[in-house]
This record gives sequence, C-alpha cells and structure tokens, in this order.
Amino acid sequence: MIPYYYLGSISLVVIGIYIVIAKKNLIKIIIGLDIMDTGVNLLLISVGYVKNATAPIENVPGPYVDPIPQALVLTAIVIGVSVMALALSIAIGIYKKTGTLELDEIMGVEE
Amino acid sequence: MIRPVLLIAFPLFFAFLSPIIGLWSKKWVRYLIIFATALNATLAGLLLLEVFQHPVFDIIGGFQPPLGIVLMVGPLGAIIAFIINLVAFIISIYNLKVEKEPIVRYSMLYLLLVMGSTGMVLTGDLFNLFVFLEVTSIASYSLAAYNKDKKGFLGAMKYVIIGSIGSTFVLLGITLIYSELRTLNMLDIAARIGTMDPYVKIIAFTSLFLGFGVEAEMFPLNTWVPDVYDGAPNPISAAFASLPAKAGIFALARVIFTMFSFTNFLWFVVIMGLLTVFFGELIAYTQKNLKRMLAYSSIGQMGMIIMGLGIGTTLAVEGAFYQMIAHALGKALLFIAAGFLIYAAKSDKIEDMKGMARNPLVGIPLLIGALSIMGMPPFAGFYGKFFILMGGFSEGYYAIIALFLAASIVEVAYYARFIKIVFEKGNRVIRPDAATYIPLILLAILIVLIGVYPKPILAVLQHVSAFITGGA
Amino acid sequence: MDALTLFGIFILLPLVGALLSYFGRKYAPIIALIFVAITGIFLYVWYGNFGSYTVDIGVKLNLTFDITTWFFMLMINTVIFSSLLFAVSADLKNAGGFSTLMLLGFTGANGVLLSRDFLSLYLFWELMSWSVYVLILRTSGEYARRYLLFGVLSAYFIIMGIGIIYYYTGSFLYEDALSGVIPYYAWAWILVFLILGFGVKMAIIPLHVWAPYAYSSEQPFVSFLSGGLSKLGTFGIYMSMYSIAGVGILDSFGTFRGVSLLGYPFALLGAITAFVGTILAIFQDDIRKLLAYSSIGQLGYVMVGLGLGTSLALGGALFHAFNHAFFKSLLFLGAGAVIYRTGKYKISEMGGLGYRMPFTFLFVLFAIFGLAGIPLTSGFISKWMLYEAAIEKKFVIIAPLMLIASVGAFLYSYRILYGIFLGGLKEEHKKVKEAPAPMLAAMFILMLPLLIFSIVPGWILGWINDVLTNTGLKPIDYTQFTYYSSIGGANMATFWIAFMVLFFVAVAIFIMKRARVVNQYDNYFAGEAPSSVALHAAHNYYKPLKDTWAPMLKYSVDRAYEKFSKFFVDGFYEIKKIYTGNPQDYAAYLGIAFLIFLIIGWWLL
Repeated sequence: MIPYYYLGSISLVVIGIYIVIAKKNLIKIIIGLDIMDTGVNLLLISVGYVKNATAPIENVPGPYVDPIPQALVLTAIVIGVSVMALALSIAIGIYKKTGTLELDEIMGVEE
Repeated sequence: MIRPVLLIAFPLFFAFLSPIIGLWSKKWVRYLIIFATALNATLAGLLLLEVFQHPVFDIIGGFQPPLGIVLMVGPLGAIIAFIINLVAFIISIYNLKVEKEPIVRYSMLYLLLVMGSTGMVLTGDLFNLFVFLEVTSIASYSLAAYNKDKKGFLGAMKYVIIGSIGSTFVLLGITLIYSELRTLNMLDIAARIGTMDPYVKIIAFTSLFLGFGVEAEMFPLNTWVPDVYDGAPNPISAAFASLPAKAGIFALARVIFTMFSFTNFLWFVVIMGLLTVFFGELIAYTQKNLKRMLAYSSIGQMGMIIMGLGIGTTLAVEGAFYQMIAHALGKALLFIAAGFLIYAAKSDKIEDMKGMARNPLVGIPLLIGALSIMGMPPFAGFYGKFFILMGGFSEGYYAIIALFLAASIVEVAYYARFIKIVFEKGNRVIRPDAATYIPLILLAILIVLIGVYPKPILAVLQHVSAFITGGA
Repeated sequence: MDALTLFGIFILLPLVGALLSYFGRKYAPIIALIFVAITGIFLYVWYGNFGSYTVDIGVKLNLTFDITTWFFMLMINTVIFSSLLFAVSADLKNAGGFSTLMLLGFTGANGVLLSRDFLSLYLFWELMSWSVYVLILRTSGEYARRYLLFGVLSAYFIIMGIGIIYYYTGSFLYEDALSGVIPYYAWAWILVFLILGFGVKMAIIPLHVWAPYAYSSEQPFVSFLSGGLSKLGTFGIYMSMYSIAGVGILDSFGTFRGVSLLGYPFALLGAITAFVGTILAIFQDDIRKLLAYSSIGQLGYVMVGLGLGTSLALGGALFHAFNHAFFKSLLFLGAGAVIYRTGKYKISEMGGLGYRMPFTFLFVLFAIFGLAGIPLTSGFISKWMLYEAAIEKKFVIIAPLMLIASVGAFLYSYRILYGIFLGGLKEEHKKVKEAPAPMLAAMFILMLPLLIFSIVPGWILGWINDVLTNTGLKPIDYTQFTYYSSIGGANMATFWIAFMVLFFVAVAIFIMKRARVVNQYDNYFAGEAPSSVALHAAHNYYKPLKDTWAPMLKYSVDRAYEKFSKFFVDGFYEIKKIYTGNPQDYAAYLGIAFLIFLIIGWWLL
C-alpha cells in the first residue's frame, strides 16, 4: 500500500512539470523546477520515515528513522538551491539582453 | 598504487586553487588548468594500467560498503576516465585561446566539469553518481552561458530546464530504489535487484534511463544540445561533446547493465538509439551553422552508441565503448577545428568558410576527424561502428541496421558538403596559431594510432563481457 | 615467408611509404615509386610462394596470398607504378599529399586483394575508398562529394552482405560462409548486396553517376582509379560469386540456359552498362568524360562475363579486366600528357598533335586498338571470349548489345584519335613539345603487356586458368596462341601471319605509289585560305548521331538521383521542425517520453 504522503510528493512533481510546460514566464518556470525538486526531496525524506521513531541521535533510545535519506536530502537540497541560483542568474542575463522574461517574447526578440 | 579518489581530489583542489593563483597572475591560471588536466590524465593512465586485471574499490571515509561511499573502477570505467581526462587536457591547451574574462572563473568551472565527469565514471555509489551529475551540470550550465550573449544565455536556460528535470528524474529513480532496497551501492543494488517490486523497478529504471539520457543526448531528451553547443565558447563545445556526454552515456550503460539487467527492455533501447541517430543525422543535414551541424552530428553519434548498448551482445557493446572513445576524440577535434574556422571566417555559417581549412595544419586533422566520425579506417571511428553493426546483425536487427546505414549516408553527405566548402579554393589561407594546431594534431595522432593499432584498446574492452553480465 | 613478412611488404611498407612521401616535396612521387617497386619485386619473387596467414592487430586479419590475389596485384602494381612514374614529371601541386594518398589507396587495394575475411576486406575497402575521395578532393570538392556518397553506399551494401553472413555463421572468415548454415534465400540477399556494393566501384548502371566526375580529376590518379582500383570491384564480385558462394549455390536459384538466375540479371545489367556507357562516351567532347564513360562501358563487358559464369565467360572477364587495366590507364595517361602539354580538355580544341607528340600518339593508338577490340590486340581476344560466351548460350539480348557497344567503342576511339592527334594543328599548339620522358616511359610500360599478350595470349590464359582452378572452376582450353570454345575460339598466330602479310603488302603499295607528303597545314585547302582553327572538324563531332539519339539522351540517371535526394532533403526540413527552440516544448517532450517509456515498460513486464 502506498502511503498517502507519497501522493503529496508525486503531485508536487506533477504540478512542477505542469508549470514548466504551461507557464510562459521564466521566473515561474524556474519556480516550477523548484517545486519539482521539492516534491522529489519530500519523497526522499519520507522514504526514511519509520512510524513512532525518533531522530537518530546518540543517547536517545530507538527506534530511529533511517538516517541515510536525511543525509541525502540535505545534499539534494543544497544542489537544488545552487541550480536555482544559477537558473535565476541566467534569467537575469536573459532579461538584460532581451528586456523581458516572457518566453514567447524572448523567442521573438532578435539580437 | 593510485587511489581513484585522487582523480577527483586533484581537479577539485586545483579548481579552488585557481582563484588564489588568479590574484597573483591571470596568465598562470591558464597554464594551471593545463597542468591540472595533464596530471589527471597521467593519473588516469596509471589507474588504467592498475585496474587492467580486476576492478579497484576505493573506500572513502572508512565506512565499509555497501554502507559507505565507494569508488568502483573497472577497466571500462578506467579507460573512459582516461579518455575524458586526456581530451580535457588537450582541450585545455586550446583554452589558451579563450579571450573572454574572467578567466579565473572559467578555469574553475572547466576543472569542475572535468572533475564531475570523471566522478560520474568512477563512482560506485548511486547517490554519488547523482552528486557528480549535478556538479557536471552546474559547471556546464555556467560554461554554456559563459559568452554572456543572448545565444549563450538562451542555450544555458534550455539546458537548465531540461537538465534539472532530468536530474529530478534521476533523484526520483534513486529514491525509489532506496525505498525498496535500502542501499545505494551499485553492486549491492545489482545483486538484489530481483527482489524489487517489478512496477517500482520499471519506474525507477525509466527515471534513471531518462535522467542520464539527458546527458547522453538521447532522443527526445537531446533538444538542448544544438542550442548549448552553439552558444557556448568554442573549447567548451568541444568539451561538452567529449566529457559530460561520455560520462552520461557511461552512467546509462551502468544503469542498463550493471544495475538492472533488463534483457527484455533492450530492443527498446535500440529503437531509441535509432531514433536518436535518425533525428540527429537528418537534422544535421539541414544546418547551415557549423557548430549546430556538429551538435546534431554529435547526437547522431551518441545515438549509435546507445544502439550499440541496446543491442547488448559483447561485440556490440565493445563497439559502443570503442565508439565512445572515438567520438570523444573525433568530436573534440572537429569542434576545435570549428572554433578555428569560425575565428578565421568571422562567421559561424558554413558557407562563409570557403577555403578556410586549406592550411594543412588544420586541413589534415580536420579531414582525419571527419573521416573518423564517418567510420573510415584506419581511424578510431571504424572499429566501433563496424562492431556495433555486426553486433546488430548477429542479433538479427536487419531493418534497423539498414535504416541506420541510410542515416549514415546522410551523415556522410553533410560532412562531404562541409569538407567541400572548407577546402574550396578562394579566400586567402589563414595560418592557425600553436594553441589551435597543437591540440588538433595531438587528437589526430591519437585517432590514427587507435585506428591503426586497436590492440591495446580492444584488450581493455574485452572486459565488456564481464560488464554486460553485471560487473564493474 | 610468414604472416608478418606478407603483411609487412604489402601493407606496412606502402603505409610507411605513404608517411615518408608526404614530406618528400617535389620528389614525393619518386619516393612512392621506390616503395611500389619494392612491393613489385616481392610480387615477382613470391610468385608460386602462396599461403594463408593470420595477422593479429587486435582483430584478426586473415590474409591469403594466392594466384587470384597475385593476378590482380600484378595489374594494380603495374598501373600504380606507371601512374606514379607519370606523376614524377606532371608538376602536381602538393605532390607529397598526392603520393601519400596514392600509396594509401594502393595499401587498401593490396589489403582487399589479400584479405580472406570480411573484417579486413571491409577495412581495406574503406581505406581505399576514402583515399580516393581525398584524391578527388584535390581537384574538386563537388566531384569528391558525389564520389564519396557512392563510395559509402558501396561500403554499406557490402556491410549488409557481410552482416547477413555474420548472422548465420558468427564468423568473418570467407571459408565459414560455405559451411552450409546459410539458407539459399539468404544467399540471394547476400549476393545481391555484395554484387551491388562491389558494382559501385565498377560503375555498373545505375550506380555509375560518380564516375564521370571522379574521372575528371588529375590524370595520373585517374589512371590508377580506372585502371587499378576499379578492378577491385571485379575482384570483389568474382570472389563473392564464385569463391564465397560458389557455383553450387548460384545454380540453386535455378538456371536459364545453364546460367544461374542470379547471375543472368547482372550479366544483362553489364550488357546494358556496356551499351549505355559507350553511347554516352560517343557524345562527350571533354576527353576526361569520354574516357570515363568508356571506362563504364568496358567494365560492363567484364560484368557480363562475371554474370554469365561459364569458364569461358569468367576467363574472358578476367582477361578483359586485365586488358582494361592497361589500355585504360594508358589512355588516361595519354590524355594526361596531352592535357599537360596543351592545358586543354576539350577534344574540339585540340587536333593535329600527332606530329608534335608522336610517341604519345603511338601509345594511345595502341591503347585504342585494344579498347576497340581490333584483332591483333589482346583486347580483341578478351572481347571475343565474352561474345562467344554469350553467343554460346544463345543470349539474344546480351550478345547484340555487346556487339553494338563494340561498334560504339570504335566511334569514340576514332573521336579521340582524330580529334586530338589528326587533322589540322591549331595555331596556339605549334610550340607543343613531346611529353617528358617519365610520362613516355610510364605509357611504354603499360603498352608492353598489351603488345605481348596480343601475340601470346597463352601466357595470361595460363594465369587465368590457375585463377579459375584455384576458385574451383573448370579451366579454359587453350594453347600458347589459341583458345578453344564450343563454337570456335580464336587463333592469334593465324591473325598475326595474316596481319604481317597484309602489312607488308600495304607497305609495298605505299612505297610503289610514291604518295606525296603534304604539310600538316596544307590539307583541306580548296582555293581559300581560312585559319587553321576552322580547319579542324572535331567540333560537334557525331552531331547527326547525337540528333538521332536526342530523345533518349534527355533521360539522365544523374538528374533522377538529384530529384530523389531533393525529395528527402525536403523531408529533413520538415523533421527539423520538431526542434522548435522553445524549452517548454522540450520539457513537454521529456514528460511525454517518460509516460511512453513507462507504458512500454509496463507492457514489457
């Protein structure tokens, strides 16, 4: 049986993809990417969840949740953030060159 | 004893050293990356000799696998890593030509690109593969936009969008595998893949396949390729075709063979490969811009490699690996030559390049590169193509091979058209400078050597049979 | 002799020569010449010293030196030797590159002839193919492009043939193909692919369109291409039909008057090629194009022989291929000498050069006799063998086509002869000198075998018989001066005696009549004194004939190919629209691909 919180993360991914495909504004597209990323991160962290367990800290009695997804998701978040930062900086560059962030207009603007 | 981790540590070290050196002298940064990549290539070569007999496992941080992070280097991984670093070294000579400032960041990103690609090949851990993929991607995104013109920014934007969706898929696949198997070590996954729920397994496989397919330029995930290759600085276009693409396809091969041994999925991979070849080659024919033409041609070549992997016989996969090597060398050469032609003609349109390659220092390597890409002996491209074709025949893919050959004729047609123009009499002949012709000649010599005497490469590639059945 | 010696002499040595001669500057052809001469010497020394060897360069190359290989090597070696000798004084630009590529082509040719496994066959075939490409590229990128497309088409046909064999046998060796695992319907595919693939090199219609362009490059190279390398097509078809497959398999498709149903269509195609090639040659004003179409036509004859497959036909085909190697190279070199001296390509712009270049004239005359199949020359014997092979089986289409083509050959030969060497000398050619000595020597070398084998065809028929028996076929019945067939044969001794008698009679009449020797500029005057330009009537030669053929000549295979390719290129532009340039479309592709993959994955489960 798939836990219900999986559905939440999957729907985040779907929403993210929808935004990327449907929205015309670059910033919104980048937000869509971020939502997708968040959805997967959520899935990753929920994979390690064990019911009624505590954080895996020394001297705290078990059962512990799986610590590996937590480590992984930290890395993934960091990576996600840096990609977003880069994407936004590229968007700034595009804005400087074309004067707009609407994708339709960007495609039309000649150099 | 060379620890594989050095191949990742050194570029990282030099990458972050370069701003410090940059404070002192901008000029020395350029030589620093040459030195760093040369060192890396040497190390990779030594590593290749070492892992020739059996795979090497390098345990990081003292945790034993499958829990700890591990680098897993088989002969195939080692040779791909070697080629990646070798080509990176040769391209870094051409980097001396890059005029655009700030050179410090450029060097840093270039070294990160090398490090990420090498890491993708060497790692034995699925999550680390993702991390290295992201390092490579971030470096690539920035380098793609490095020219800071509209073309570059737009290409980079497309790359970011497609690339992030791809890496999200990779992460999704990793999550699904972890949720079922509670491990991230590739060999461990391979051993226990049978216990996975088949539906989750399919989703995980599809996600990983698509995610790495973006880097491996598989159809229809290769849509970013022409724009990025076109918009990036010339050495970076060369590097893109040789470093991340090869790392991506090697990751793809590991997904297909090492982790999931899906034998009933393989024909589908062949079809994807064929589609990739078809779209790549046919569209390349229509291109008037040299770098875009080479980009589409690169897609076609990668499609051929994917086909070889999909055919899945020892011969075909051997051919696919041979082709990876040949393509890394050949495409790097052609992109460097393209860089010179664009510089000489002051235009990126092929029709403006009349007679620009008539200087033998450019012309002969250019011809060798083009012939190698076409699969002519005695150049590197020959054996790969021949083995893939014969592997395909032995599995009975007649129709697919026939279609593939038809697409290959189109490939020959547009290369012949390009060669016709650049060797036409007309404009005055421009002499290339040393930073251009030395890499060209080095690559040409390598291509000829590998093609004339394939024994050393084939000796390494005989480990393919172990690789297919799920080894390192 | 061991594997490495064989490999070293015939493959590595030319390769080393190729590398060295690149840096030879002006002397490059001489360096190349030395290397070719060395292989030639070994070819002579090793006659009879046959054997089969394996060389391991990572992949195993199976090389066999036998009489078939030797026979073809003899042609190619002689032809390239004379071509390079010609090139010594031809003042080529970048002679180093030229020699390098010639030697690479030579290496490829040697490899194709030596190889007895498909991998090395394909390897050397492609090596030869691209070196020819680059050689044509020296003259024109457009010609080279046309050549390369067909060269690659040829290679891919061969690949398809090889691949089907590999599917059944899992081995690249020729001998494994005969182990009986390949069903006969697969053989049909294999043979059709291989014959078409090798047929491209022989310029069989409709795969000939590259030839007129390729043959318009530098003459010393073209003489090697037409005389030497096109014979690899002959070799390939001969091997694939009669050595790899064999008569048993060919006959399993059913026979038509004793000729395999698979071979007959190709024989017919050969006859059509001979016919069409000749007709087109008649109407060419460019000497290079004329010789190119002539070459197409002559190789059509060879194809007829290869298709018919009786011993007489095969013997004729091999003999004709041998003759063609010499007379066509000789013609190209002769044309090259004339072009070198005059700088003109058009026949109508030349004329009267016979007095200026007497030796060239003599050699070309001899080649033309061979080409037209005039009795007394070896060209006559080989053609006669082919006619007899067709007549013997009562092929009422093939034989007449060949005979008509032979008449046509006469017409275009005369065009060369008259247009270039006879008639009035043009004003601007009065200072033309005889070709330099190396060129004459090159032509002389090529003339010798034609002369010798026309008197004593028995020598070459002996080799051909060895080739046939080595392939497992019945030998031809022959003596030193004669060959016999079921409907006659030919006796050269009688011919020669008759010729000698007639020759002396003619000489006697000539002396007795005391013919008046007139100045070259004195002819055709009829009271008026026009300039010498107007005197030469080679302009619009054969116009009435051309008018007769005009309705047929408007069809062009060339244009058909262009239309065909344009159709496809338009399609490419349609496909290109998939790459819209909009990242959102691309993201949508990704999503769709994910869904499709999932569906297929689930379905495959």
